[in-house]
Amino acid sequence: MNNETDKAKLSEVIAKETRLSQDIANAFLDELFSEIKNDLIEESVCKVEGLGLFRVIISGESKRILYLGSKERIDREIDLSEAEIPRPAYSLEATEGEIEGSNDTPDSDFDPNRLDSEYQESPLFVEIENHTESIALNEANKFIANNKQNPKAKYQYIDSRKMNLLKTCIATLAILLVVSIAYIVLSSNSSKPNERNHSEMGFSEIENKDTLAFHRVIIPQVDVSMQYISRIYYGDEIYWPYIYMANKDAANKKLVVRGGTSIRIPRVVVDLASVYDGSVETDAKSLAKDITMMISNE
Amino acid sequence: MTENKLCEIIQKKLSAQGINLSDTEINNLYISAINTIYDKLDEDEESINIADFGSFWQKKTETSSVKFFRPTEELLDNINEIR
Repeated sequence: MNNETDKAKLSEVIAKETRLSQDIANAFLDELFSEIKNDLIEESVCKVEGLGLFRVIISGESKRILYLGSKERIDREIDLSEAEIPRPAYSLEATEGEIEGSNDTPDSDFDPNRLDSEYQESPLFVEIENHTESIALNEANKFIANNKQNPKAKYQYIDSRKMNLLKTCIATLAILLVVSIAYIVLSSNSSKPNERNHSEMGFSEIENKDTLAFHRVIIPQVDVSMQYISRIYYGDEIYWPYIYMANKDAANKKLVVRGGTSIRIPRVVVDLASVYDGSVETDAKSLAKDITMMISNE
Repeated sequence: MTENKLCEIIQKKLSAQGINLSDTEINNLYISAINTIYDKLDEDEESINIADFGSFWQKKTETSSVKFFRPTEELLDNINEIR
């Protein structure tokens, strides 16, 4: 470092800028750094807006000062509306009692956890104490090399990725919701035609007290044949003998059931092999033949 | 410590020394002091030495900059005296 600015040079610049005397500027600087020092000793931490954060840390058996320089300078302008001709120097003499009488209270507003928001993004995280300048500079060079990319850009990238993930989740949930609603609507619509068909066929259903033996109990609204009932409930009219066997007194000789008669539709248990080889159909036809003969003989 | 609180304390201490400054003047001094330090550090090869407190300096590259502070031995002793 070729140039060094001491407190006198600083106060000279400050006096010019504020249009106050250099003695006042000098006294201000004395008090400013004295206050920072007192805060560090008493509170172990002192944050100065625009300058940075000083914090006492324990390293081994001794304490050191961690300094985090501020990334942003103060953005306010000096207000010279009250400024006049530079004031003469005041007497700087004061008794110790007068200074102690001031309301110097510890700062209760400072929260060390606020380091995250203002300083962790700053590349100014360096701890200094008795290190030589060369060691400190080497550490700084390493730090700078590791942070060549703008850290804010990384955070923005992560934020955008999170937002995209959130949007994808919301879109997926919306699609699932729409599909579910569509399924419910379609399935409810598909069941309605069956019910309508069932009533249109001219049957009303009553309570089935023997659900093990009978599939359902119906009442035809008009006269219908056993074959018709078989076709409606079994899909083929050849199975009418099973209905006849369960409702022997319900049909006349022409196998017609009077409207308003209660008809039980029996559960017919067959195995798939019998259906495949046609034995079920054969049995039904055989049974139909026997029933027809029996009726004709009556 | 907030800027206002710091300025208030300094204002009272200076007043005790016979230097009566208005709120605006104290704020101007604060802004000027901090910004002057900031500007000086921003200049190449410039360091700021505050007696009884410590030294500030800055290392810059094209992409970043780091500010350093080295306390005086006296300040370190004061800190280490408190257990």
